[in-house]
This record gives sequence, structure tokens and C-alpha cells, in this order.
Amino acid sequence: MTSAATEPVAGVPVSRRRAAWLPAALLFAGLTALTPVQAEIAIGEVDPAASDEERIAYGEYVLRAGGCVTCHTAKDGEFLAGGRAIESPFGVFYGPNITPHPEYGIGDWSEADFRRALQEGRSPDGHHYYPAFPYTAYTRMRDEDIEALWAYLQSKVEPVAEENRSHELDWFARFRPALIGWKWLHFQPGRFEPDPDQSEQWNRGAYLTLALGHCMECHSPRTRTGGLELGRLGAGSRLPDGDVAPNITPDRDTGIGRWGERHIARYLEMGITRDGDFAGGSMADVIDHGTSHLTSEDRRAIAVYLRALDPIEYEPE
Amino acid sequence: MKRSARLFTAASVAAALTLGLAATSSVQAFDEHEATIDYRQGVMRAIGGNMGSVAAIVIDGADFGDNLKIHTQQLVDLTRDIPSLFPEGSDFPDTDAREEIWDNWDRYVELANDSRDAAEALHAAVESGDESEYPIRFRNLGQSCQACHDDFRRD
Repeated sequence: MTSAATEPVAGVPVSRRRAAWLPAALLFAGLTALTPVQAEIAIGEVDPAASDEERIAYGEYVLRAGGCVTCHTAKDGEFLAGGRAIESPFGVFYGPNITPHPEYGIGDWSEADFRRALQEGRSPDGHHYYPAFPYTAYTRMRDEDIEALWAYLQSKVEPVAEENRSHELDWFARFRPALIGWKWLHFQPGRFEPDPDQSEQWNRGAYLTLALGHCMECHSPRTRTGGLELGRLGAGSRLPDGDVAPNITPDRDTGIGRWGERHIARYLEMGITRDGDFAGGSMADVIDHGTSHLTSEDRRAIAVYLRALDPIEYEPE
Repeated sequence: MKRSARLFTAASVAAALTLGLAATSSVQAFDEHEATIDYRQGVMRAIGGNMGSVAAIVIDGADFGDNLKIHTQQLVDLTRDIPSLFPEGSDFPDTDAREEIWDNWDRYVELANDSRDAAEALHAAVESGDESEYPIRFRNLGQSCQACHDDFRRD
């Protein structure tokens, strides 16, 4: 079973020509297959003050902030029962069922399995996930957020007997061990580290943007080998479905430099742009299922963080 | 000139004329649709401009409340018949209109009518001075715009 992203194409290498990296990755797969996998990440402490109910309610909030619903719920489908198509240069991925159904969902997983999926990009049986599932961002999630999300998914979501749909991938993308090479190149596991020189609001915004919301997965150009261009995070990208995820750095001409914090916060709440237009496409889903459910403080924190990024002059091709 | 050559020349002229006329009429149709597209995009920008102004007043408290009715009246007028802005054939590849508009016309009209109804509801609240309803009805109108863009506009 492969999980999927919360935004279409999040984490997916962006163009067919970039498939050229695959032979190298295959070589890597061979070279690294004998390398021991990372040690199991220790389960973090849970806030002892939180009651189960509070934790579960917070878990639902994490689900929204993580944008999970978009990819794990088909249009007009059962909630979180999977089936949403995610286009990529390698074929079509289908978001899997993450309801607590023991056979078709993740009902027979342990919390450690769930944590490992998010933080390491590995399934309970040990295989590697395609980065259509943005574990590259979720690896930064706080342990207590994962725990709360797990509690919510297991206790409040209706189990749905909906079988996962197989991905329809091009031949060269079906060889899953190649993902070891991809991860070696592009996956840096580890929790979010707050910057003590920045405000609490900035740090919250950074966490929401980089870890939970995984905004940069769609809003950044990618390297030839399909990883994020770390020097141009947030500078925008053309997505495999043809839409453009625009530059969200504060460059005045190519980014959102003319947007104030309130414009960004309002956009994440209602989808209205600075000039009165309304988002459609995949960002409308992100807003409907995700950011519109956040508190206004959290939307403002994201705005503060984005406004503080270095402006990058760049327009996606 | 031999007879066959004259015939050939006449046929060529006739063919050229026919082709030319056909080309002219298709250019006219093209121009007409281009003008339609220009008009439609202007209307959409005008709707956006009014929405931006209403948001500044209703959401962010810009001190132009006296003008609110001007904007909501324009939104009512401009959303009255959105489907008429999308005649068949006005889906040139360089517009943001998706072909699904014409493939799924009834659904498209339904969503466009939702925007019309939401604009009327917002304007009614403004006319009656029911300020507590402004943000709610503004959001409803925005969501109706978004719902339609989601399915029928390229982004």
C-alpha cells in the first residue's frame, strides 16, 4: 500500500525528462540495499494535561492543518476512504484508505506504524513510500501531533470497506526499491527545530508551512532528480496537471510581495486573492478541506512566516 | 489562350474566392468570439474588483461603508446572467475556461445561478442594513465563485 499526498502531486518529481535520474537511483538502490534502515524513532511524550477528548479534537485539527483530506478522499467519496487521483510525471497515484477499517484501511496498524509512515516514509511491512505522500514534510511533525492525529483517525473516523486502488504508474516507476536512492538524495528525516531568534508566531507559521501544511511541496521548483530546489523554496512550480503553484515568496513582481499579512490570512480562510479573485483548482481543495478550518491565529502565523521569507524572483515555466 | 487554360484559370479564381470568403467568415467568427472573451474577462475582473472592495470594507473594516451598496448592486448586475458570457465556441485554448463548461452545461448554469443568488442575498442584507449578515453572505458569495472556478476554470 502506498500513501498519498494531501495536495495533488505534492512531493512528486515534476517532469518526465527528470526521469533521467532513475538509472542512477536504481544503481543507488543496489548500493544502499544493504545499508541498515534507520532506527525506530522513539515515541515522544504526550502532554499529560490533555484529556483523551482534547487530544482527539486536536487530532482532527492536525488532520486539517496537514491537508490530509484532499488526497485521501475521492470527490464525492467516503471521508478518508481514499481513491483521489493524483497526477504525476510517473503516472497516476491514488490516495489510499486511511479509515480505521482493519482490512482496507489502517485499522490494523499500530501507532508506531503510523509514526514511521509519516516520519520515515515506510509502510508497516517495511517498503518505501513514493514521495507523492509528502513524508518529506511530515517528518518534521511533532510527536504529539502525530499521536493526536492517530487518536482521532482511530476513534472518530468511520471505517470504510473501500479497497485501495492500484496506482497506474509508468514501467520505470514501478520498481519500488529505486525509492531508496531517491530518499538518499532528497529525504532528510528529522523533527522541526524552532528558531530561537524568531518569534513564537514565526515559528508556528514555519511549522505549519513546512511540516504540517507541506506548502513547499507544490510551491517549489524541483531539481533534475526530482527533489525540491532548496535554494528556491516557495518560488513556485508548474504542476504535472498543467496548473501553476505560484511563487509564494514576497517578491513584488513574481511572488506575493504586494500581499499583506491580512491578504494571505484572508486567502487561506476564504480563497479570495488580494485583487478579489477566488482560488480554484487544487488550492481551492486545500483551502476548503484544510486552511479554512484553522484558527485565525494559525492562518496569521503562516502569513507572518511567508512574509518573512527571502523574496525570490522566479516565475514557473 | 486555349479554352482549357481559360477554364483552369476561371476555376482557380473561383476556388480562391471561395476559400477567401470562407476564411474571411471564419476570421469574423474568430474575432467575434475573441471580443466575447475580452468582454467576459472584463466582467470577471469587474466582479473581482467589487469583491475586493467589499472584502476591504466587510472583513477588514475599510471606512467606505457608505459605498457598500454600490459594490453589491454591481455584483448583482454582473452576476445576473453569467452563462450568456460563455457561448459555445468561446473556449479558445488560451482562455482559462475549461471545456467542461460546455460538456456539463447544466451543472455550470446551476453554479452560476448560485453566484447570482448569493450576490442578491448579500445586496439584500446591505439594503436592509443587517450588518451581522454581511460577512456570512459575503463568504457564501465567495464560496460560490470558488466552487465554479474549481470545476470550470484553469488555474
